[in-house]
Amino acid sequence: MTLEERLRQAIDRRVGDTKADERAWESLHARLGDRSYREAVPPVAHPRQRLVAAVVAFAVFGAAALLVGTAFRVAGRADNTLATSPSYPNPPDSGYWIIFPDSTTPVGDGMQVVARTNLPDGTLYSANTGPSGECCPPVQDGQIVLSMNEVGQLGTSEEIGCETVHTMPSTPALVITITVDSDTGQHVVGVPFGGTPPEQPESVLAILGDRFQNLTGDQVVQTAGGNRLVAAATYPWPVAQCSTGSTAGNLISRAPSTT
Amino acid sequence: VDAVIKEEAQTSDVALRAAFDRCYAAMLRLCMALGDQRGDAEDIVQEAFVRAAPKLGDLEPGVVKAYLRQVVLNLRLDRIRATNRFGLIRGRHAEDHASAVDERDVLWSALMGLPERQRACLVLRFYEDLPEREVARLLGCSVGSVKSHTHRGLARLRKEVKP
Repeated sequence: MTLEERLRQAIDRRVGDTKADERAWESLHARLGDRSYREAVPPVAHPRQRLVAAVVAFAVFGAAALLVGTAFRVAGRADNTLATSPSYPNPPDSGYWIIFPDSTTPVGDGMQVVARTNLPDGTLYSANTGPSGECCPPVQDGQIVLSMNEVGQLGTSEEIGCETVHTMPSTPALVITITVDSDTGQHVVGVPFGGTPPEQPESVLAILGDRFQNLTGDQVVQTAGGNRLVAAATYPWPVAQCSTGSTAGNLISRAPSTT
Repeated sequence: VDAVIKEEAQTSDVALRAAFDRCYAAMLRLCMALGDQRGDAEDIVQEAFVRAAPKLGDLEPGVVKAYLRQVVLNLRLDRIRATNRFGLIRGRHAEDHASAVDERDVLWSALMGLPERQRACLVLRFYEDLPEREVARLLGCSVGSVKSHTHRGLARLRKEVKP
Protein backbone atom coordinates (compact mmCIF):
# COMPACT_ATOMS: atom_id res chain seq x y z
CA MET A 1 0.00 0.00 0.00
CA THR A 2 1.39 3.37 -0.96
CA LEU A 3 1.87 6.22 1.45
CA GLU A 4 -0.88 8.16 -0.31
CA GLU A 5 -3.35 5.31 0.23
CA ARG A 6 -2.32 4.96 3.85
CA LEU A 7 -2.77 8.68 4.27
CA ARG A 8 -6.25 8.53 2.80
CA GLN A 9 -7.14 5.70 5.17
CA ALA A 10 -5.67 7.52 8.15
CA ILE A 11 -7.75 10.61 7.38
CA ASP A 12 -10.83 8.56 6.73
CA ARG A 13 -10.41 6.74 10.02
CA ARG A 14 -10.34 10.03 11.85
CA VAL A 15 -13.03 12.01 10.10
CA GLY A 16 -14.91 9.52 7.96
CA ASP A 17 -17.76 9.03 10.40
CA THR A 18 -18.43 12.75 10.73
CA LYS A 19 -22.03 13.39 9.84
CA ALA A 20 -24.36 16.35 9.77
CA ASP A 21 -27.24 16.28 12.20
CA GLU A 22 -30.46 18.22 12.56
CA ARG A 23 -28.93 20.40 15.22
CA ALA A 24 -26.48 21.65 12.66
CA TRP A 25 -29.30 22.43 10.26
CA GLU A 26 -31.19 24.29 12.96
CA SER A 27 -28.07 26.15 13.90
CA LEU A 28 -27.50 27.08 10.29
CA HIS A 29 -31.07 28.27 9.94
CA ALA A 30 -30.71 30.36 13.04
CA ARG A 31 -27.56 31.85 11.66
CA LEU A 32 -29.25 32.65 8.40
CA GLY A 33 -32.11 34.22 10.29
CA ASP A 34 -29.69 36.57 11.98
CA ARG A 35 -28.86 38.24 8.72
CA SER A 36 -30.34 38.73 5.30
CA TYR A 37 -28.42 36.00 3.59
CA ARG A 38 -29.76 37.03 0.24
CA GLU A 39 -27.32 39.90 0.48
CA ALA A 40 -24.50 37.73 1.63
CA VAL A 41 -20.98 38.55 0.70
CA PRO A 42 -19.42 36.86 -2.31
CA PRO A 43 -17.52 33.64 -1.70
CA VAL A 44 -14.10 34.98 -2.53
CA ALA A 45 -13.49 36.59 0.79
CA HIS A 46 -10.27 38.49 0.18
CA PRO A 47 -11.05 41.74 -1.65
CA ARG A 48 -9.82 43.90 1.22
CA GLN A 49 -6.75 41.78 1.72
CA ARG A 50 -6.05 41.89 -2.00
CA LEU A 51 -6.35 45.64 -1.93
CA VAL A 52 -3.94 45.81 0.99
CA ALA A 53 -1.57 43.45 -0.84
CA ALA A 54 -1.76 45.60 -3.97
CA VAL A 55 -1.00 48.75 -1.99
CA VAL A 56 1.92 47.08 -0.23
CA ALA A 57 3.24 45.69 -3.51
CA PHE A 58 2.96 49.11 -5.12
CA ALA A 59 4.83 50.69 -2.24
CA VAL A 60 7.56 48.06 -2.31
CA PHE A 61 8.07 48.32 -6.06
CA GLY A 62 8.00 52.08 -5.89
CA ALA A 63 10.62 52.10 -3.17
CA ALA A 64 12.73 49.63 -5.13
CA ALA A 65 12.51 51.77 -8.26
CA LEU A 66 13.45 54.84 -6.24
CA LEU A 67 16.46 53.09 -4.74
CA VAL A 68 17.62 51.81 -8.12
CA GLY A 69 17.24 55.24 -9.63
CA THR A 70 19.14 56.81 -6.73
CA ALA A 71 21.90 54.22 -7.05
CA PHE A 72 22.34 55.00 -10.71
CA ARG A 73 22.39 58.72 -10.08
CA VAL A 74 24.98 58.35 -7.33
CA ALA A 75 27.08 56.00 -9.43
CA GLY A 76 26.77 58.34 -12.35
CA ARG A 77 28.08 61.26 -10.30
CA ALA A 78 30.87 59.23 -8.77
CA ASP A 79 32.10 57.29 -11.74
CA ASN A 80 30.20 58.41 -14.79
CA THR A 81 30.37 54.91 -16.24
CA LEU A 82 27.22 53.18 -15.13
CA ALA A 83 24.76 55.69 -16.46
CA THR A 84 26.56 56.28 -19.74
CA SER A 85 28.98 54.28 -21.83
CA PRO A 86 32.50 55.63 -22.18
CA SER A 87 33.03 57.81 -25.21
CA TYR A 88 36.00 57.78 -27.54
CA PRO A 89 37.90 60.54 -29.32
CA ASN A 90 37.81 60.63 -33.08
CA PRO A 91 40.54 58.41 -34.55
CA PRO A 92 43.19 59.90 -36.83
CA ASP A 93 42.40 60.03 -40.53
CA SER A 94 45.38 57.98 -41.55
CA GLY A 95 47.79 55.40 -40.25
CA TYR A 96 47.28 52.91 -37.51
CA TRP A 97 45.99 53.99 -34.14
CA ILE A 98 44.80 52.91 -30.73
CA ILE A 99 42.29 55.14 -28.98
CA PHE A 100 41.25 54.93 -25.36
CA PRO A 101 37.87 55.58 -23.80
CA ASP A 102 37.40 58.67 -21.69
CA SER A 103 36.90 56.61 -18.56
CA THR A 104 37.36 53.16 -17.12
CA THR A 105 34.37 50.90 -16.67
CA PRO A 106 33.76 49.34 -13.27
CA VAL A 107 33.59 45.56 -13.51
CA GLY A 108 33.07 43.61 -10.33
CA ASP A 109 35.58 44.86 -7.80
CA GLY A 110 37.91 46.05 -10.52
CA MET A 111 37.69 47.94 -13.77
CA GLN A 112 38.03 47.50 -17.47
CA VAL A 113 39.39 49.59 -20.29
CA VAL A 114 38.33 48.77 -23.83
CA ALA A 115 40.59 50.51 -26.33
CA ARG A 116 39.74 50.61 -30.03
CA THR A 117 42.19 50.11 -32.84
CA ASN A 118 42.43 49.63 -36.57
CA LEU A 119 45.33 47.22 -36.20
CA PRO A 120 44.69 43.87 -37.85
CA ASP A 121 42.88 41.36 -35.70
CA GLY A 122 45.40 38.98 -34.24
CA THR A 123 48.08 41.63 -33.71
CA LEU A 124 49.80 40.87 -30.41
CA TYR A 125 50.27 43.71 -27.99
CA SER A 126 51.76 44.18 -24.57
CA ALA A 127 50.23 46.31 -21.86
CA ASN A 128 51.61 47.98 -18.77
CA THR A 129 49.85 49.68 -15.94
CA GLY A 130 52.77 50.33 -13.63
CA PRO A 131 51.91 47.70 -11.06
CA SER A 132 51.81 44.98 -13.67
CA GLY A 133 52.27 44.10 -17.30
CA GLU A 134 50.61 41.73 -19.68
CA CYS A 135 52.02 39.94 -22.69
CA CYS A 136 50.76 39.31 -25.31
CA PRO A 137 47.08 38.99 -26.08
CA PRO A 138 45.80 39.61 -29.60
CA VAL A 139 43.60 42.38 -30.93
CA GLN A 140 40.11 41.01 -31.34
CA ASP A 141 37.33 42.62 -33.33
CA GLY A 142 39.21 45.89 -33.36
CA GLN A 143 39.33 46.00 -29.58
CA ILE A 144 41.95 45.74 -26.87
CA VAL A 145 40.33 44.75 -23.63
CA LEU A 146 42.24 45.29 -20.41
CA SER A 147 40.79 44.03 -17.15
CA MET A 148 42.39 44.95 -13.88
CA ASN A 149 41.67 45.27 -10.22
CA GLU A 150 41.28 48.48 -8.31
CA VAL A 151 45.04 49.09 -8.17
CA GLY A 152 45.65 48.41 -11.83
CA GLN A 153 46.90 44.84 -11.66
CA LEU A 154 46.07 43.42 -15.05
CA GLY A 155 44.24 40.18 -15.66
CA THR A 156 42.20 40.18 -12.48
CA SER A 157 39.18 41.96 -11.17
CA GLU A 158 39.53 40.56 -7.68
CA GLU A 159 39.68 43.09 -4.92
CA ILE A 160 43.01 42.87 -3.15
CA GLY A 161 41.95 44.48 0.07
CA CYS A 162 42.95 47.65 1.84
CA GLU A 163 45.93 46.16 3.66
CA THR A 164 47.55 45.28 0.38
CA VAL A 165 46.59 48.60 -1.15
CA HIS A 166 48.56 50.39 1.55
CA THR A 167 51.68 48.40 0.67
CA MET A 168 51.47 49.30 -3.01
CA PRO A 169 53.71 52.05 -4.39
CA SER A 170 51.71 55.22 -4.58
CA THR A 171 51.17 56.76 -7.99
CA PRO A 172 49.02 59.78 -8.66
CA ALA A 173 47.02 58.13 -11.43
CA LEU A 174 46.58 54.97 -13.40
CA VAL A 175 48.75 55.04 -16.50
CA ILE A 176 48.07 52.43 -19.14
CA THR A 177 50.58 51.89 -21.93
CA ILE A 178 49.98 49.60 -24.90
CA THR A 179 52.88 48.71 -27.14
CA VAL A 180 52.71 46.99 -30.48
CA ASP A 181 56.02 45.82 -31.85
CA SER A 182 57.29 43.13 -34.15
CA ASP A 183 59.30 42.02 -31.11
CA THR A 184 56.53 41.17 -28.70
CA GLY A 185 57.02 41.09 -24.99
CA GLN A 186 60.00 43.40 -24.93
CA HIS A 187 58.17 46.21 -23.28
CA VAL A 188 56.43 44.58 -20.44
CA VAL A 189 57.52 46.33 -17.27
CA GLY A 190 56.81 45.38 -13.73
CA VAL A 191 56.67 41.63 -13.97
CA PRO A 192 59.39 39.19 -14.87
CA PHE A 193 58.82 37.66 -18.22
CA GLY A 194 59.98 34.11 -18.53
CA GLY A 195 60.37 32.07 -21.67
CA THR A 196 60.20 33.11 -25.27
CA PRO A 197 57.59 35.70 -26.11
CA PRO A 198 55.10 34.65 -28.76
CA GLU A 199 55.75 35.90 -32.29
CA GLN A 200 53.38 38.03 -34.29
CA PRO A 201 51.25 35.78 -36.48
CA GLU A 202 52.03 35.47 -40.19
CA SER A 203 48.77 37.11 -41.13
CA VAL A 204 49.78 40.24 -39.21
CA LEU A 205 53.34 40.27 -40.53
CA ALA A 206 51.94 39.99 -44.04
CA ILE A 207 50.10 43.27 -43.50
CA LEU A 208 52.47 45.24 -41.26
CA GLY A 209 55.73 43.83 -42.59
CA ASP A 210 58.36 41.64 -40.96
CA ARG A 211 59.78 44.62 -39.03
CA PHE A 212 56.45 46.42 -38.96
CA GLN A 213 57.78 48.79 -41.57
CA ASN A 214 54.20 49.27 -42.79
CA LEU A 215 53.09 50.37 -39.35
CA THR A 216 52.55 54.12 -39.64
CA GLY A 217 50.64 56.79 -37.81
CA ASP A 218 50.92 59.52 -35.20
CA GLN A 219 51.52 57.02 -32.41
CA VAL A 220 54.26 55.17 -34.27
CA VAL A 221 57.92 55.60 -33.41
CA GLN A 222 60.80 54.31 -35.44
CA THR A 223 63.39 52.20 -33.69
CA ALA A 224 66.44 50.30 -34.80
CA GLY A 225 64.42 47.10 -34.67
CA GLY A 226 61.58 48.47 -36.74
CA ASN A 227 58.43 50.49 -36.17
CA ARG A 228 56.59 50.43 -32.89
CA LEU A 229 53.19 51.82 -31.92
CA VAL A 230 52.94 53.16 -28.37
CA ALA A 231 49.65 54.43 -27.00
CA ALA A 232 49.08 55.55 -23.44
CA ALA A 233 46.26 56.93 -21.34
CA THR A 234 46.01 58.24 -17.81
CA TYR A 235 42.95 57.68 -15.67
CA PRO A 236 42.06 58.69 -12.17
CA TRP A 237 42.09 55.85 -9.71
CA PRO A 238 38.63 54.64 -8.85
CA VAL A 239 36.97 55.99 -5.75
CA ALA A 240 39.06 54.91 -2.82
CA GLN A 241 37.51 52.17 -0.75
CA CYS A 242 40.35 52.46 1.74
CA SER A 243 41.39 55.38 3.89
CA THR A 244 43.25 58.39 2.57
CA GLY A 245 46.74 57.61 1.48
CA SER A 246 45.95 54.49 -0.42
CA THR A 247 47.17 53.98 -3.94
CA ALA A 248 43.83 54.83 -5.37
CA GLY A 249 43.74 58.21 -3.73
CA ASN A 250 40.84 60.48 -4.40
CA LEU A 251 38.67 60.87 -7.38
CA ILE A 252 40.18 63.19 -9.96
CA SER A 253 39.30 64.24 -13.44
CA ARG A 254 37.65 61.89 -15.87
CA ALA A 255 39.30 62.58 -19.16
CA PRO A 256 42.46 60.60 -19.83
CA SER A 257 45.52 62.11 -21.36
CA THR A 258 46.30 60.01 -24.35
CA THR A 259 49.53 59.89 -26.26
CA VAL B 1 -24.97 14.94 -6.59
CA ASP B 2 -24.91 18.47 -7.83
CA ALA B 3 -27.28 17.68 -10.64
CA VAL B 4 -29.76 16.37 -8.10
CA ILE B 5 -29.26 19.46 -6.00
CA LYS B 6 -29.99 21.61 -9.02
CA GLU B 7 -33.11 19.69 -9.94
CA GLU B 8 -34.45 19.86 -6.43
CA ALA B 9 -33.65 23.51 -6.02
CA GLN B 10 -36.94 25.15 -6.80
CA THR B 11 -36.27 27.81 -4.25
CA SER B 12 -33.17 28.97 -2.44
CA ASP B 13 -34.30 27.29 0.74
CA VAL B 14 -34.78 24.02 -1.01
CA ALA B 15 -31.41 24.39 -2.66
CA LEU B 16 -29.86 25.18 0.68
CA ARG B 17 -31.37 22.13 2.29
CA ALA B 18 -30.26 19.95 -0.59
CA ALA B 19 -26.75 21.35 -0.39
CA PHE B 20 -26.75 20.80 3.33
CA ASP B 21 -27.81 17.19 3.00
CA ARG B 22 -25.30 16.45 0.28
CA CYS B 23 -22.31 18.58 1.17
CA TYR B 24 -22.37 19.66 4.78
CA ALA B 25 -20.76 16.54 6.19
CA ALA B 26 -18.18 16.49 3.41
CA MET B 27 -17.18 20.05 4.21
CA LEU B 28 -16.95 19.19 7.90
CA ARG B 29 -14.67 16.28 7.06
CA LEU B 30 -12.53 18.50 4.87
CA CYS B 31 -12.05 21.04 7.66
CA MET B 32 -11.25 18.35 10.20
CA ALA B 33 -8.86 16.67 7.81
CA LEU B 34 -7.14 20.02 7.48
CA GLY B 35 -6.69 20.16 11.24
CA ASP B 36 -9.75 21.93 12.60
CA GLN B 37 -11.51 20.65 15.65
CA ARG B 38 -15.14 19.73 15.31
CA GLY B 39 -16.43 22.95 16.84
CA ASP B 40 -14.26 25.14 14.63
CA ALA B 41 -15.13 23.05 11.60
CA GLU B 42 -18.87 23.48 12.29
CA ASP B 43 -18.41 27.21 12.61
CA ILE B 44 -16.50 27.52 9.34
CA VAL B 45 -18.86 25.30 7.37
CA GLN B 46 -21.96 27.04 8.65
CA GLU B 47 -20.48 30.40 7.78
CA ALA B 48 -19.64 29.04 4.33
CA PHE B 49 -23.24 27.93 3.84
CA VAL B 50 -24.53 31.31 4.96
CA ARG B 51 -22.30 33.06 2.46
CA ALA B 52 -23.05 30.65 -0.34
CA ALA B 53 -26.80 30.50 0.28
CA PRO B 54 -27.82 33.29 -2.11
CA LYS B 55 -25.93 31.61 -4.93
CA LEU B 56 -26.89 28.01 -4.43
CA GLY B 57 -30.08 28.16 -6.45
CA ASP B 58 -28.28 29.68 -9.41
CA LEU B 59 -25.26 27.46 -9.59
CA GLU B 60 -24.79 25.08 -12.47
CA PRO B 61 -24.83 21.35 -11.73
CA GLY B 62 -21.43 20.06 -10.86
CA VAL B 63 -20.15 23.14 -9.14
CA VAL B 64 -22.08 23.32 -5.88
CA LYS B 65 -19.66 21.19 -3.91
CA ALA B 66 -16.68 22.87 -5.56
CA TYR B 67 -18.17 26.28 -4.78
CA LEU B 68 -18.71 25.39 -1.14
CA ARG B 69 -15.24 23.95 -0.93
CA GLN B 70 -13.80 27.20 -2.23
CA VAL B 71 -15.76 29.24 0.31
CA VAL B 72 -14.70 26.94 3.12
CA LEU B 73 -11.03 27.18 2.16
CA ASN B 74 -11.24 30.95 1.84
CA LEU B 75 -12.79 31.23 5.28
CA ARG B 76 -10.14 28.97 6.76
CA LEU B 77 -7.44 31.07 5.14
CA ASP B 78 -9.01 34.22 6.54
CA ARG B 79 -9.00 32.74 10.00
CA ILE B 80 -5.41 31.60 9.75
CA ARG B 81 -4.36 35.07 8.62
CA ALA B 82 -6.32 36.66 11.43
CA THR B 83 -4.78 34.26 13.92
CA ASN B 84 -1.29 35.08 12.71
CA ARG B 85 -2.05 38.79 12.60
CA PHE B 86 -3.07 38.85 16.23
CA GLY B 87 -0.05 36.88 17.28
CA LEU B 88 -1.82 33.74 18.31
CA ILE B 89 0.01 30.48 18.11
CA ARG B 90 0.40 29.26 14.57
CA GLY B 91 -0.95 25.80 13.95
CA ARG B 92 -2.92 25.77 17.19
CA HIS B 93 -5.66 23.65 15.75
CA ALA B 94 -3.31 21.13 14.35
CA GLU B 95 -1.35 20.79 17.55
CA ASP B 96 -4.42 20.43 19.71
CA HIS B 97 -5.83 17.91 17.35
CA ALA B 98 -2.60 16.00 17.15
CA SER B 99 -2.38 15.75 20.89
CA ALA B 100 -5.90 14.41 21.06
CA VAL B 101 -5.48 11.64 18.57
CA ASP B 102 -4.57 8.09 19.21
CA GLU B 103 -0.83 7.95 19.64
CA ARG B 104 -0.71 4.83 17.54
CA ASP B 105 -1.87 6.71 14.52
CA VAL B 106 1.50 8.12 13.62
CA LEU B 107 0.51 9.06 10.10
CA TRP B 108 -2.39 11.19 11.24
CA SER B 109 -0.24 12.88 13.85
CA ALA B 110 2.44 13.51 11.27
CA LEU B 111 -0.12 15.03 8.91
CA MET B 112 -1.34 17.34 11.64
CA GLY B 113 2.23 18.39 12.30
CA LEU B 114 2.81 19.55 8.73
CA PRO B 115 2.77 23.23 7.77
CA GLU B 116 -0.68 24.44 6.78
CA ARG B 117 0.01 24.64 3.05
CA GLN B 118 1.62 21.20 2.83
CA ARG B 119 -1.24 19.66 4.79
CA ALA B 120 -3.81 21.35 2.56
CA CYS B 121 -2.10 20.04 -0.58
CA LEU B 122 -2.00 16.48 0.73
CA VAL B 123 -5.59 16.49 1.95
CA LEU B 124 -6.96 18.03 -1.23
CA ARG B 125 -4.87 15.80 -3.48
CA PHE B 126 -5.25 12.45 -1.74
CA TYR B 127 -8.35 12.72 0.41
CA GLU B 128 -10.48 14.90 -1.81
CA ASP B 129 -8.95 13.35 -4.93
CA LEU B 130 -8.56 16.68 -6.66
CA PRO B 131 -6.16 17.20 -9.56
CA GLU B 132 -3.17 19.43 -9.03
CA ARG B 133 -4.63 22.19 -11.16
CA GLU B 134 -7.79 22.33 -9.05
CA VAL B 135 -5.76 22.32 -5.84
CA ALA B 136 -3.68 25.19 -7.19
CA ARG B 137 -6.83 27.13 -8.04
CA LEU B 138 -8.35 26.51 -4.62
CA LEU B 139 -5.22 27.52 -2.76
CA GLY B 140 -4.46 30.43 -5.05
CA CYS B 141 -1.00 29.25 -6.02
CA SER B 142 0.74 27.70 -9.02
CA VAL B 143 0.65 24.05 -10.02
CA GLY B 144 4.40 23.95 -9.45
CA SER B 145 3.89 25.18 -5.92
CA VAL B 146 1.30 22.47 -5.31
CA LYS B 147 3.71 19.84 -6.60
CA SER B 148 6.45 21.19 -4.41
CA HIS B 149 4.32 21.30 -1.26
CA THR B 150 2.93 17.85 -1.97
CA HIS B 151 6.38 16.42 -2.50
CA ARG B 152 7.76 17.99 0.66
CA GLY B 153 4.73 16.94 2.66
CA LEU B 154 4.96 13.34 1.53
CA ALA B 155 8.69 13.30 2.16
CA ARG B 156 8.17 14.54 5.67
CA LEU B 157 5.41 12.03 6.34
CA ARG B 158 7.62 9.27 4.99
CA LYS B 159 10.42 10.36 7.26
CA GLU B 160 8.24 10.48 10.34
CA VAL B 161 6.39 7.28 9.63
CA LYS B 162 9.64 5.40 9.11
CA PRO B 163 12.12 6.94 11.54
